[in-house]
Amino acid sequence: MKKILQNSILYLFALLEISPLIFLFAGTFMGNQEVISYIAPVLKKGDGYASWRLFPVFPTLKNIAGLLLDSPEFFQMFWNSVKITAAISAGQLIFGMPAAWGLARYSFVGKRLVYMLYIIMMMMPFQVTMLSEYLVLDWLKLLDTSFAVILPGIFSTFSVFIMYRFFCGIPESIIEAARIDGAGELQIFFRLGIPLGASGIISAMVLSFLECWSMMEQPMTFLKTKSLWPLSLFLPEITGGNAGLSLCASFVALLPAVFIFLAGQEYLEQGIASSAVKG
Amino acid sequence: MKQRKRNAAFWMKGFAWLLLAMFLFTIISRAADALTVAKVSVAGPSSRKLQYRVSVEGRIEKNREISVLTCPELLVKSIRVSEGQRVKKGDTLAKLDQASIMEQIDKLEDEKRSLELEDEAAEANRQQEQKSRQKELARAKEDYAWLKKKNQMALAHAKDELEKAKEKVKKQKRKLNGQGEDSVEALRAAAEEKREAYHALKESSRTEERAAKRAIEDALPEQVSDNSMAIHQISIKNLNKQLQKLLEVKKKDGKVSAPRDGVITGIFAAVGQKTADSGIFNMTDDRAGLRFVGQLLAGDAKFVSTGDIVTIHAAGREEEVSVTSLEMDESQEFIKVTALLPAKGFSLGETASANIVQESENYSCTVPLAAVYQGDNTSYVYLVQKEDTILGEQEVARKMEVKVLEKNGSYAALETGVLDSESRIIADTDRAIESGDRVRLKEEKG
Repeated sequence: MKKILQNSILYLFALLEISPLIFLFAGTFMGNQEVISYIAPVLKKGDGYASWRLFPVFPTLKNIAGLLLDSPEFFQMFWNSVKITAAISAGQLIFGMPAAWGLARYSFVGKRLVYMLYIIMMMMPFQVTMLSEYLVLDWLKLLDTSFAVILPGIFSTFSVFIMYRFFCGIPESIIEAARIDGAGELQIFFRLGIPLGASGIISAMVLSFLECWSMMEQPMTFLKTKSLWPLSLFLPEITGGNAGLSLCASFVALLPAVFIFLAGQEYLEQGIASSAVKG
Repeated sequence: MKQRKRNAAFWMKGFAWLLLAMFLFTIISRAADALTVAKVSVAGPSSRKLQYRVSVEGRIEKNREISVLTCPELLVKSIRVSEGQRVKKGDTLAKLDQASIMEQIDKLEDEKRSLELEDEAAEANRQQEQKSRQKELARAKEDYAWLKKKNQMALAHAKDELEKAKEKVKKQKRKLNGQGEDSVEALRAAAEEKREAYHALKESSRTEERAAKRAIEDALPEQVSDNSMAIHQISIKNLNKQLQKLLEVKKKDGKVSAPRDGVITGIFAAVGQKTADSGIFNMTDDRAGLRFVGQLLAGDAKFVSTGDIVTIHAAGREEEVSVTSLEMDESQEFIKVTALLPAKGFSLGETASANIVQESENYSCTVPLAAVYQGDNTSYVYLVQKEDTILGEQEVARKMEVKVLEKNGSYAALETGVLDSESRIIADTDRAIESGDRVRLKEEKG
């Protein structure tokens, strides 16, 4: 009985937690007028409070059809997001993974200082480093190019930190055994480090993907050219004309993140657990 | 571990399919967008004079028509021309019967003679009456003179008798010296009688003389208004003219000739019938030429003025002439446009059109009229501007209010200052557009 009560309370909170997604899903199949009638107070076109329904009164696929067949802007931004996210993820694999391995497995002068710097940089919100990043990108003549977002993303400290935690977890005896067997440092990294730290790498990639997919401040700050904007800036003003389309776009934008999340769900849990015990 | 990998592979496949689907929809939406974006052609503002072209449909008409006259009451023997036939000066149009000409001449001469005889008789009567009047006047004057003389003598005698009676009264008074009043009184009564007799005679003389004067006045010749002879003279004069004409017709063996080069437009006589008082033929006069007559809508009157040069087109020929006159018709809806044409080159009655071109002042900023839209009391154009959009740099239509100074059927003159020479104005679009819409420029042909 006690367990049932506990579960009920948990399900209730879980329901509250995912209610925005439910509303988003329902709104995707609502007509414009129906959406407006519910959110009229938000749009300052009515009194009282906004309301919502779990099921549309008049379900329609018009918004989905309009988005998929008649919104090239949406796809332009979708592929911009794919490009930025893929580039950052690839960059993190190329630069972040060796960095994490080096920090985890080698001892060198100033290692602790470097690690501390990583931690500090990770803790800093974007707003703190925004100006300095802007100045550096301007100096590199990279402002208003995709690299303005990709380059700082590649050298993100968070993924290095996660991979570092996983690489640290590889027993030193295995590494030593490999060395005794004559394996070089690169062989150890590629043959032992990457396979044994795969969970951490995937976890870092999943988290990196989710972060990049929903990245807003960096594109808004560094990209002036609209054609370079990622999907996270597809924020059409919710007005009487496009409320339904906006909900639908939000729903479709959610799908890649959902797929990636589900694909790396178990690795992600490990990664989160790993980051939770950091320090 | 394997289960975890299978799950990951499954969802990654799903992710790959999602990307593939998004790729397909990207292509589809791009293709759909290409179909829905308005294709426009653009034009820049240019400097030009606005031309107003008005076409007036009409016909070629005769400019002046003349009537061919001959004497009335003559029998038409033959008609040598038909309506629409071109004739030259001197050509025989008809022939009249000689016998009827002679008959008409005789008839007129008889009329003339009878009028002359009437005049002669009237003159004789007038002279006779004048003589009689003169005789009566002489007699009245003679009677008056005699009467006047007789009355003067009688009055002198009566006056003398009166004086004598008065003298007797005076003498008797002196002689008696206040005595014998009875005898004086008797003389005084006698003198009074004489006075009365004298005055009565004077009165009767006056009455008689007045009567005699009136007799003289009655005998004087009266001024009687009698114009009959003058009227007869006029009639005779007219008869002479008619006779003269008849003699001329007779001299030409009854032929009626064309007085000018031209085209027969009307025949008002028939063979076997007599000519009337009016002309027997109507014809154009080549010396006066032809004219174009067309109708123009009253609203277009502002584009045409008398003296404007117009181009007349008819059956492949064209001629530049000037507008002779503009007349509003009774309905006030149309204006009759007339332009004189040379006689040669055009045919009477054929349809023709007049193209009138009028130019405005030179405007430095003119755009195609199709580019100008009308709003609520405002006019505006759409400019094509390059704008940074999600899809990259795109051509976007932007609304720009303008002030139209003047326009014709093709162009509108706009107030300067709003558009510059670099402005790209949408002159043609394949669908309705609004400000902010993306547009695509039509590919130039050739």
